Amino acid sequence: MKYGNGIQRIFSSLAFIALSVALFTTAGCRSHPPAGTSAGRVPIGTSTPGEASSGLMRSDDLIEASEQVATALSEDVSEMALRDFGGKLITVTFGDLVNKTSRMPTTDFEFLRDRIKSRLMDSRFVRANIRFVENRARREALRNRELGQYAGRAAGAGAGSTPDIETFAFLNGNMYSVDRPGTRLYYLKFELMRADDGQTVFSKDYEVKYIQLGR
Amino acid sequence: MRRNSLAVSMILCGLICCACRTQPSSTRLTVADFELISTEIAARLRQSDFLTDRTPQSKRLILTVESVTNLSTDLLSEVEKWYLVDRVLDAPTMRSLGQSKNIGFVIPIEKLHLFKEHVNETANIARNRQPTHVMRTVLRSISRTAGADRTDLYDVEFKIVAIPKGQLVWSDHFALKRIARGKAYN
Repeated sequence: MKYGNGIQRIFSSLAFIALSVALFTTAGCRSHPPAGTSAGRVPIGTSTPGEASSGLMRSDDLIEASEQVATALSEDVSEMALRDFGGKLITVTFGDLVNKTSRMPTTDFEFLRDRIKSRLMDSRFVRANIRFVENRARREALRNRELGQYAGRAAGAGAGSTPDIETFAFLNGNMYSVDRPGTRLYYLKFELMRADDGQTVFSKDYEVKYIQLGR
Repeated sequence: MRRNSLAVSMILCGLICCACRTQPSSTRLTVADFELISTEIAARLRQSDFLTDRTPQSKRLILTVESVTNLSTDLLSEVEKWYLVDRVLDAPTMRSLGQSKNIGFVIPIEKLHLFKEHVNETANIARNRQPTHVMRTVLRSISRTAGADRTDLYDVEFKIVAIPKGQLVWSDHFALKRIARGKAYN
């Protein structure tokens, strides 16, 4: 009789444990957001732990730097277009924009470069004097891909698709960095080369100083 | 005995809850992000100078699209790439452009090739397809990690290029940031 009671107690205790585990497990796991929600999205300007201690530029700083450089560059390029090309509409293609920094990751550089290019193209100052075209390889690839054998029938195909050499220029650039403890200076050097005679008609540096906080 | 079993069950539950808390956390784009990006870009395109300057009398513009060029750390399937660009074109703000802005939309070249393979027809299908502009999309990301904290900033660039001159007529960016804590192997 005593043994019977003992076994019953053991079984009831085990059942109690199992029930508790099942209940708490369900409750514990349900407290997490389900996968696929936007729970991990934060406003762009938020400083996150992952960025603060990464030792690299914060993404917000990269965005701000791209805005500053693009604004300054668009004003300078617009002035140059009026001064050196007599106000004619000039055609610019992006040439080499090279990352020569010691520590900026390629992904960061491409992010910065593409935002500057995009902001430059969106500038009202710039659009009044300059139009941007893809480089020759991309133009031809696009034409062949989209129009194929009917390319010749397209409006503007053929001679019209090649920019006028006298008002055609390449925008090239390099990005360098100076690394010193606590401070990192990035500078972007942009040059505009006239396609007709290879003359550099515009050259200017734009600086971005980054003071590192934390480690 | 009951007291002991209660204590054991509490310890077990605590361990299980801790295990649940270290569930893998991810900065991958979600469906909600796709919806946000496409809605925002469609609205911006609709309000851009490129479109606002157009009238029903403007020269006919035939637009096609390319799939997303994914240069981010996130993995996107072909379907997901097309979902993003299709949502831009299918947005309510874009549907009325046909008449009000004299814009037509033609099948993307990749989809046309697939369609031709599927129906086993090579001649005459879309023979008069002559897009004048193409919309390109590039997805980039920059990642930052410190210990178990991770941040990914996603940047999507949309641009419209004229064919065959290659002139860039419109471009815009949309960025969003996602954070996560924990390692993928947790």
